Amino acid sequence: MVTIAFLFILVSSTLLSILLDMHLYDLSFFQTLHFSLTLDAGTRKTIVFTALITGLLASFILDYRMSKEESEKKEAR
Amino acid sequence: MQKELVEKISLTQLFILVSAFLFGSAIVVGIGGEAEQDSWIAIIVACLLSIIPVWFYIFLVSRIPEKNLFEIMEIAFGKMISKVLILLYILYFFYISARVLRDFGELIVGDMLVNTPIEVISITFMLFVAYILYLGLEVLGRFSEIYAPYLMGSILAVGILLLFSRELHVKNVLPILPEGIGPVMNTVFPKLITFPFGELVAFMMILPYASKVRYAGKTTILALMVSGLILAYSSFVQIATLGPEAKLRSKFPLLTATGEISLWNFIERVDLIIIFVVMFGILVKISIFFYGGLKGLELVFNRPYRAFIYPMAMIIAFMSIIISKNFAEHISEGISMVPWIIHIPFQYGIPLLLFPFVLWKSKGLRSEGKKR
Repeated sequence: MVTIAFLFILVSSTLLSILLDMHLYDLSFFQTLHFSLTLDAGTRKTIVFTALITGLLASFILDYRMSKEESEKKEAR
Repeated sequence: MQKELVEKISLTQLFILVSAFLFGSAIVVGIGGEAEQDSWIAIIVACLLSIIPVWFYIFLVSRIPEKNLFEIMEIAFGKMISKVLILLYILYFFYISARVLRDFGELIVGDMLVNTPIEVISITFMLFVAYILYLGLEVLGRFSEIYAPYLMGSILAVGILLLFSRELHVKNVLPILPEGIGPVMNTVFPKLITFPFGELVAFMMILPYASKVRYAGKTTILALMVSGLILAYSSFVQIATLGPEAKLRSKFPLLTATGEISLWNFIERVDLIIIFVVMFGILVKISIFFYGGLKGLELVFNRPYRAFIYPMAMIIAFMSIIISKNFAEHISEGISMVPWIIHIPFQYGIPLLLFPFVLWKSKGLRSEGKKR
């Protein structure tokens, strides 16, 4: 569930940002997508992309732990 | 077994949270600049007019006790429709958190840590917010109690120090209302009424957790008025020091004004202390919006909100960077589009839509309670 929430929020908030940029600059969707997410050299965007990946990994781990806890509870019953 | 963490805040803490929330990024980027020398009047007018929507938010929360905005929506609209609306609100709360974080990041890299990447500032700050929220709302409240006197004291001290530095020129504020009330009202609607005052909609997620719910509404309105007056004072000081044009051109007018403080060739560079203090307002604002979004996720995905903290904090840090290429674009988006497209629907549209349903459902709940 955490992973699903992570992916949903990531995709929808990126879409929101892109839609606002499209409106502001009068550009197409793909132009704005490219403009927003391309890792240009020297912009240090890789730092936040790395943080984002750690967030995704954390959500995998959290989901695994929660499903493990739930199955242990079921077994205990 | 994990110890249950407390989710209650006192009225004093609520007062401080509302005040710090309103100062938040408003004090950093400066508000009401479009009204030129009358921006302080615009802030007072917006503050007074904001009592109506804030009272409305309090009314909605008080009709169905001990329920936050999302739980009220679930009662009013049913599970399916409310889930869609809650997801939209989560996006709104996270998006605004990212915008506030960007304001702070730009302030820090522009004036304090000039060689540090803004990305590092965003990630570090979100880790800090995540840790506070992981410990619970009460920790945020207690943290605020410690920090609040420094925030309010510093904002008030700036004016006094500028006065002693002979940098405060009242002629910059004159003439008052040279073009009538028109420019003031144009600044109030929709800019000031949505940012920062309308953003108090996020407190519909916090009010049910106040220890004395009966007085929470009065406390919120009192905090709104006090903060409005302090914001107006701060704006007055900025105009009197810089003049209306320089204030409008300045990226961070409060800092530019504070930079003018010079007493006995000894007390100088006070702006660095101000940044440190302003950080608290930003922290509260991001935390409240982030907390609102997390509570929404808790309701939609049926998992404790603490499970979402780290992953969502990283999304906000990421969003704060990709929302705009530079500060000019960030501000331009914030002025021209965010109030109309983002703020008004979530601050006024959906709560107004909720109103008849809340009246209807709360009547039903009350009559059920009487039958029992």
